[in-house]
Amino acid sequence: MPKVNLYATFRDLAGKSQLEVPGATVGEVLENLVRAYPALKEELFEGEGLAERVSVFLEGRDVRYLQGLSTPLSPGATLDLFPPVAGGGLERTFGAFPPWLLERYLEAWGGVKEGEGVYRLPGAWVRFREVEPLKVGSLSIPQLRVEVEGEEAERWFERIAFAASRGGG
Amino acid sequence: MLGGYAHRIARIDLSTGQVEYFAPDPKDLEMYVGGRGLGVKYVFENGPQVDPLGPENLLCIMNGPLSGTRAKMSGRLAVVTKSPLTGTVTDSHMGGWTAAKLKWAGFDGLLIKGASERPVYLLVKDGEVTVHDASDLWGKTTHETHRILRERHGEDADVMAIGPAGENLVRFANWINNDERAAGRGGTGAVAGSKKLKAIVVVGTHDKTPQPKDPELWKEADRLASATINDPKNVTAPKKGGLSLYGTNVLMNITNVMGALPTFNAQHTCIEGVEKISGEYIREHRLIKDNTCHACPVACKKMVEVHINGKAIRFESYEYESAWALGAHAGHTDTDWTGYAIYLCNAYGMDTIEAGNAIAVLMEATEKGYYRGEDGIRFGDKEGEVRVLEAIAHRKGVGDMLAEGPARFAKAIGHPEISLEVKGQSIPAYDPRGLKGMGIAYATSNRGACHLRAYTPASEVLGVPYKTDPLAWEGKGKLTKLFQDLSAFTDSLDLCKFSQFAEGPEEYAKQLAAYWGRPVTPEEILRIGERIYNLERYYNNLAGWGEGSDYLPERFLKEPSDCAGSKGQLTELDRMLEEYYRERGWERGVVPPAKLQELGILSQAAD
Repeated sequence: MPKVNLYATFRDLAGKSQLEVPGATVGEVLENLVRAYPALKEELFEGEGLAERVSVFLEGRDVRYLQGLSTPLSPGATLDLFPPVAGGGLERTFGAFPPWLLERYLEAWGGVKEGEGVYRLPGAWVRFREVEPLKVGSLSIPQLRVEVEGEEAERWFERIAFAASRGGG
Repeated sequence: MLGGYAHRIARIDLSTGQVEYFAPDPKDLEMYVGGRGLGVKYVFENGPQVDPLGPENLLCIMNGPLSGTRAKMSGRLAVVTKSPLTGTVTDSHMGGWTAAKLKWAGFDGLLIKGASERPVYLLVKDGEVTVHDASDLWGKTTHETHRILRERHGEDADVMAIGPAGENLVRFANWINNDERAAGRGGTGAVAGSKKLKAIVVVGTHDKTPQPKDPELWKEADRLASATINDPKNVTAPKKGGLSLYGTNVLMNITNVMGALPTFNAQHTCIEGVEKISGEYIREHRLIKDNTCHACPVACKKMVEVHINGKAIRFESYEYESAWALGAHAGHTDTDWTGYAIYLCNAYGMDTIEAGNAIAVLMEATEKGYYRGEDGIRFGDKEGEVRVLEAIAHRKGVGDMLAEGPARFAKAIGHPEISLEVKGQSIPAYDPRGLKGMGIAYATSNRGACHLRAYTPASEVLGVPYKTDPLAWEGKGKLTKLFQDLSAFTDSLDLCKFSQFAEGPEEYAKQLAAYWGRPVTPEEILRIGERIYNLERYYNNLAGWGEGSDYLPERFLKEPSDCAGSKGQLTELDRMLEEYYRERGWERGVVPPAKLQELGILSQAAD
């Protein structure tokens, strides 16, 4: 059965951070989820479609860039559901930004390690973990999902995003 | 005194043969760093109204404060001048060892003006520049020129040369050095040709390697940069990452699947059989050796061998842009003929991207009856393509018209719409209908259509620094500004663009601070990049590229993409331009005086 990870305010609405929900597509899983936790319905859907402000990730990929609600799910799939940015937390998946480098920055900025992939900064919490690399043709790009919560979340998120700026050519 | 520099630049007047030396102004170094930035500053001071092919145009050969050091991926050399192709300021960069050796010879740059009456080459050695007769080299290919001059000055000598295309003022002629790396775009080789400058020989010795002003900080900065580049999960990881294994051409299959590969002169957005010119195929079937540049562990360069009529030809390198331009864009995917066409462009000293566009435009013109000469060629005609490339380099027949650039050719035959150009420079290998960010990046590039000012596929394809939908236009203006500013800075250090797949403002700031010997913040890095980008734009505004100069070829706005991945898509340029100008603080492509003052350009320019 697919796993669903809930983040930030979604956790309060469901009273859980992780659960197993039946379904063969993203749409089916989300429908079953709101059936069990009706408070999530308004947050996740706009009419029949996925609410624009919500981020639903399948193995680190935004389902909007896959097949949306029709995206098929294997029984072992994991969906990550993030509430809108305005909900108090900020998150982004950064490419080519290794976790050890983020740890160095956080320590240099006065962060305190509270656990694996969890740091406390003045006025904010930072959580991060590696998700499935983005595979494109013969290229594989490591992906790091970073969440920042707290009163000073915006300031710290901007600082992390700036440090993670990359380009290419 | 800031560290990292030789504090010596040569000013060479080829009209008189006189050479003078000066130390660059420390204020200029802090504001523009080196490489592209400092070169643009000098070209700006020389005036935006000069004739690009006249003796008054200034040709700058520049390295940066990290050139010649052990800083990773620091092997790039900048050639900066006013482009004869576009009339804008342009900069083009080559890899190899030329930049490092220029520093080891005691120089931060060479500023070349005037025009010689007879062919000459420059010898740069032990802090001196001397001018030598090159009559015996005139007419020779770049490869022959490298061989002769290295026989004359020793195998350690680094040689960058122009070929017959540069001598014949082909407007997209380039420079090729003895490692077969090209300063490809914008026609800087034609500027050299107009000055009768055939080659530059650089002999450097390691005792002139600059040392960091803050050795402790350098240790930390270098360790960090190395660790990110060598991180086994990263695309830059030596012998592991996709960019190291396959080079730039790892992208060929990807863009084809996305419907983002312009083919048949962008009448289509994919091509059958693309595998045959892809990085994966070349690695398996044609690779001889993985070569590299100064201080680079990535080794993306691929020496290959192709066979034409039973003859084996070795060359470097089967790059993505070159393979696309001379293969897919010309309507074929022949491994060997595409490789041979690349080899010929290098030998004659022509930009493969512009040459491929010239071929594709001629092919469309021939098929549609817009060009009726006997030397017209059709899509897929590989042997005809090679004939026309030779004709361009020597300005024979239709080649003489194409040597003016595909944009001028298309205009001359009355069909400017078939030339895929911005500001006179043709597009590279990304179709902006399948990668919307490339649309705004092409339109607003200060040197004409270009993928290296703002490489939006980093985000749209590779998820760096974060993933965006390739078919969405929203946010691409903002992303383009960030990439443009970051690249303007790294081009001034002058580090390879690939470094950006592993490093960011924090890592660059640390390395520069260690060499400069004063604190540098990551914010200052992007501020410098923004300043350089605005100075280039200001130059272009003064050179005649004002309002309405940020456009795209009509084809991308009116003819929908026809391949899976982007089928039915057009490029939403106007919406992206609006967002971009807002981010830049520009007025319809023109830099307002307030912005110039804010960035310290106007007061500096007036000094």
